[in-house]
Amino acid sequence: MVDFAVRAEGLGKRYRISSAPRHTPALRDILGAPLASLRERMAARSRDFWALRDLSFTVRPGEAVAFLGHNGSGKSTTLKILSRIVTPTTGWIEIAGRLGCLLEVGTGFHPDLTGRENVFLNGAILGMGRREVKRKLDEIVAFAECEAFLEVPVKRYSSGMYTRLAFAVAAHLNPDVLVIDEVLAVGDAAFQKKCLEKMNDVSRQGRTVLFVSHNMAAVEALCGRGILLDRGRVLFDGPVREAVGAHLARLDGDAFSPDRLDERVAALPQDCEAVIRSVALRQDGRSVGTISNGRELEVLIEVEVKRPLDGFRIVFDVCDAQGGLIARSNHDEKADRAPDVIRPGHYQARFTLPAAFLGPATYGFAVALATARGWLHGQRVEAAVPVVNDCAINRMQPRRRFEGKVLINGDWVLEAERQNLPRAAVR
Amino acid sequence: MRVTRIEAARDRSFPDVVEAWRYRGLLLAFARRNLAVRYRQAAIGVAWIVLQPLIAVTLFTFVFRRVADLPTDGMPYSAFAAIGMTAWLYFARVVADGSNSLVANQAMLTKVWFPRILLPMSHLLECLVDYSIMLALAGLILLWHGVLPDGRLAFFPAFFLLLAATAAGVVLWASALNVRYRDVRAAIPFLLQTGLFVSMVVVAPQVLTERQQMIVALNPAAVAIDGLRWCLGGAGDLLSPASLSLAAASALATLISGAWYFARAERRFADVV
Repeated sequence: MVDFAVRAEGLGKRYRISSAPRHTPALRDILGAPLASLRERMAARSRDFWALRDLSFTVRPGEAVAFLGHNGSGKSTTLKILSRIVTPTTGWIEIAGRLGCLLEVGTGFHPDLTGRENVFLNGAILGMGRREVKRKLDEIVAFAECEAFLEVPVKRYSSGMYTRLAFAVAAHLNPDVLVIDEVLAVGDAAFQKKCLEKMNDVSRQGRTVLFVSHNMAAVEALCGRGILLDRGRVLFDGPVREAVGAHLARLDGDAFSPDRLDERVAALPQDCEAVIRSVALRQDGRSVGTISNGRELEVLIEVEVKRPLDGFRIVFDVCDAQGGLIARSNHDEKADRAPDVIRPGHYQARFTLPAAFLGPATYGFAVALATARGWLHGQRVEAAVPVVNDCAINRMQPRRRFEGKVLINGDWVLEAERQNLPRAAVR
Repeated sequence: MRVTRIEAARDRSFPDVVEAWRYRGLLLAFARRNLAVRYRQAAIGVAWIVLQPLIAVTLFTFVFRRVADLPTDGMPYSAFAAIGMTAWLYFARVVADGSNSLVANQAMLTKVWFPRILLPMSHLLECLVDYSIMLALAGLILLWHGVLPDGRLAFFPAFFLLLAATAAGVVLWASALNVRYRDVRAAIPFLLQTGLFVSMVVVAPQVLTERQQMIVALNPAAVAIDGLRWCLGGAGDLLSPASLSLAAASALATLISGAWYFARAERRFADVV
């Protein structure tokens, strides 16, 4: 018997990002001009990007562990290494027993096969014999609530049914380690609850659950321990409450400062048809990191356009802390004619966000570029921005929790009607 | 409890056969899936298995016997064509489906792990079902001509193995190359069309000179098909021992080099596909 379920040591994954427009060379290119192809590849400037750096942890059997972090913090890479889809660049990871993996719902389901056939196929992918699957079949079908559709090809399933069956297979086929990535994002509330209960069962039976979700309530309900990742490194490893707290605090933007924004702008790919050169937030002529909602906010954006672009647009997004879009504005949205072709050169855009629009909360701001063909890939800068309340709204109730996403700044009038005038007059 | 260790990338020079064996159940499941999917939503379904060789044999008999009168080394032409064509169809189907198997299952390659080699190899197993049905059809044609099996039948497994090993080698190369170079997908149908003639399906290699026979034997499929006709259909003689050994060596070389290339390419499938 081993005393761990998963053990990782010095785990790292490097991706090489080449900045030249890259396409896989056709065989023809290589056969036709081997030297040219080689030279072209050598010339392509590439830079290394560590999606994961020196990650070490041990998970004991029966533990339920959540991986937390922003997008791009290395959660998914970790799970992909665990499930052996990608190989690490450095270090190693050991898994005791069988690994059941749900990275995406219904992977390995074949649309033309019936529900029953797919259950057997999926079981085999998880390394299970037919007899073993047969024993579990009733339980799986009951959980997925698809008894009546067992002999129907899954392509005729509703998406909910599809999800339920996929989850049921992964959760019931008794893996020693169950890896779940964000499946709860699909399915209705009742199903989510059911999944959580099932995962709880799994970990109570002494099996191990590794969980990734943006649903913090689910994370806290299921997991005892949280590992917070940031840019490929472990930032915190401990009780789940503290991990979630630390994660939310970071979402709340205290990691943000103007120079971080510069860093992000500098890290943008430089080989696009247009590039964001700088983004600055200003109030009262000063550069700010925290915004007061009582005054206008100026967003200054500098852009370099390298070739004539049709339908060029600078886009400014306001998102909530979870990344959901609240409002979007384009630089030419008030124009009275169709967008022109923009000429190459340097441009500066100034967007003014009115006062009393943002509430006292943390928002995500994003600046992105688009053309008539769609987003300019890679040209998007995001930042978390905390807002403090100093506008005329809710000034008298400073402790009231801010609800909703933005302020309306509408006008209220409360008037006494005539018949109760005397009482109102008393005050 | 078994501990799986995943380590920093290191090139393997041969597929992990032990692990593949542990997953043999999945090989069966893939084969079963391929079979189920192939004839689903097809109106005449399984009848396609018999129809294809039947039409081919009829056509070949007409064109190559009646019109061209090609030599068959002492066999009735329809029997000659039936054994050759069914074996060729097995080979061609394995190669065509197998070489596309990794690309066709892209979603799985990037989302779940299993020994990748099972995907292309499952087609060897799957097409076995078709082949047995087609073989029964060929048997009927043989009976109709009054050809009965004799002791040479004992050599059937050897020649079939030669054919299957060749198919496996080609599929390992083609499926792994296809992940990186989709040119393979375009090349395969053309190569198979040519292969039908190169593999001596329509004419007996015995008409060739000894030297030419050696060249033909570089293609083990041709020797295997000729051997199958010899042990099943009572064709006159077998090719020379030299040709037979050359074919066996060539098949082995394809298989081993294919496995070697597959193992080296496997690691990057998920990144490249």
